[in-house]
Amino acid sequence: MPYSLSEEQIDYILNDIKQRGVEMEKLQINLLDHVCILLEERLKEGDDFKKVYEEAIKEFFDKNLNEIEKETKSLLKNKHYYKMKKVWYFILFVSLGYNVIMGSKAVYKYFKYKNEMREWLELKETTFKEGHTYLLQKLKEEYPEAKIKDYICISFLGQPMSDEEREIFGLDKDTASERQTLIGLKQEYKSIDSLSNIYKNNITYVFAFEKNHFPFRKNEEATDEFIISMKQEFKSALFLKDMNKLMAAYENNRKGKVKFYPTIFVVDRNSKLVFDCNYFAKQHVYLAKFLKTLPG
Amino acid sequence: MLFSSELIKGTLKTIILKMLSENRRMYGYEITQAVKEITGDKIQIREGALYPSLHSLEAEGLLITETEYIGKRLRIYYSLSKEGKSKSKEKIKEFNEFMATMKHLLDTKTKHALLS
Repeated sequence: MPYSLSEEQIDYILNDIKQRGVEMEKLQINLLDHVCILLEERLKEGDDFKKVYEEAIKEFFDKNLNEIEKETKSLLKNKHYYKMKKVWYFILFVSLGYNVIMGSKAVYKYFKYKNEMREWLELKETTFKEGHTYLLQKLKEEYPEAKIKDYICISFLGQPMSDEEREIFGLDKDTASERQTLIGLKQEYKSIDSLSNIYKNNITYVFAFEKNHFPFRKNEEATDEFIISMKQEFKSALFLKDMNKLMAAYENNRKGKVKFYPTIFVVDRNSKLVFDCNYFAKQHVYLAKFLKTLPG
Repeated sequence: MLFSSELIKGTLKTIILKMLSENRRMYGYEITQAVKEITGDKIQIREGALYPSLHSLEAEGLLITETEYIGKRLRIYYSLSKEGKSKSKEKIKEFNEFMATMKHLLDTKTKHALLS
């Protein structure tokens, strides 16, 4: 029957290995297992365990057992250098990847807005006869006394403003849900109003609403109430309700060219659509740019 | 004839990779015994050289370890990682070429070769 070391003998060997200066746990396990196998091969019943152990362990080293640990550590030191090299390459790779992604995002954004601006320029050449006629008719009904100027700017708001726009107009950065409140919507009209004060152009400003305007959804009364409160605040702007048909006409006119409802657009006396923009294209910023180009 | 430990030192990693490429997993003592047996006692790996090399190969990511209880003590088994498998082939090929070159070098009469 092969010799089997007792728990005490194993503990004795492990302690001895530790006392000889081997601190690395994995190396302790390696050496303990190795020497135990040797001992179990060599020991016979009645042998002096410690004597046989001393002879066996001496085969492991020249001067001290811990020279194995020293050698291990010196090899690992070199490996760490290579390991760190790998880590640096990894970091470099990740940061390069990040820059490429962010860079392409910026390029995409740039071309996206450029494209939207180009679409708007193309639109300058198109007409808006059907919509314009309807608009003039509605204005005459609601405001028979009003003198309509050379351009009509229709603001059809109801979408929340982006943070960037809010910053331009010095508004608080609210959360998305808060932006959809009446206060948020009022602030947007306020921005248009402030633009009309800055650029004293020959423009009639119309704030247009659907029958059940966003964010009131299917509540006509709420839309009416909102318009009444707005009228008290913005005396210079004209308010038109039930403008779904105008939007339908606009959509017809822009068929295949826009995916989203416009939020602001401008029509001249000759029914030409001279400016339009939607929420996704930073409406207020582009409107300001456009107003700059009009004669004062 | 027993080869000197100096000669074995430079080739030990290749020996370990070769052994592990032919066995799913091995522990330290097993490696020394297998090498001893295959080489007819000509190559005897010393513990003081084996374990530092095993730890180093593990740190390089070429080996993976499994620790198991054998009765009352622990045993660490070594096996090749995915990277270790391809590296072992590479190392063995390189070493074969090295041996062929050494043989050529030692067989050639240097003086004669330089003159002709």
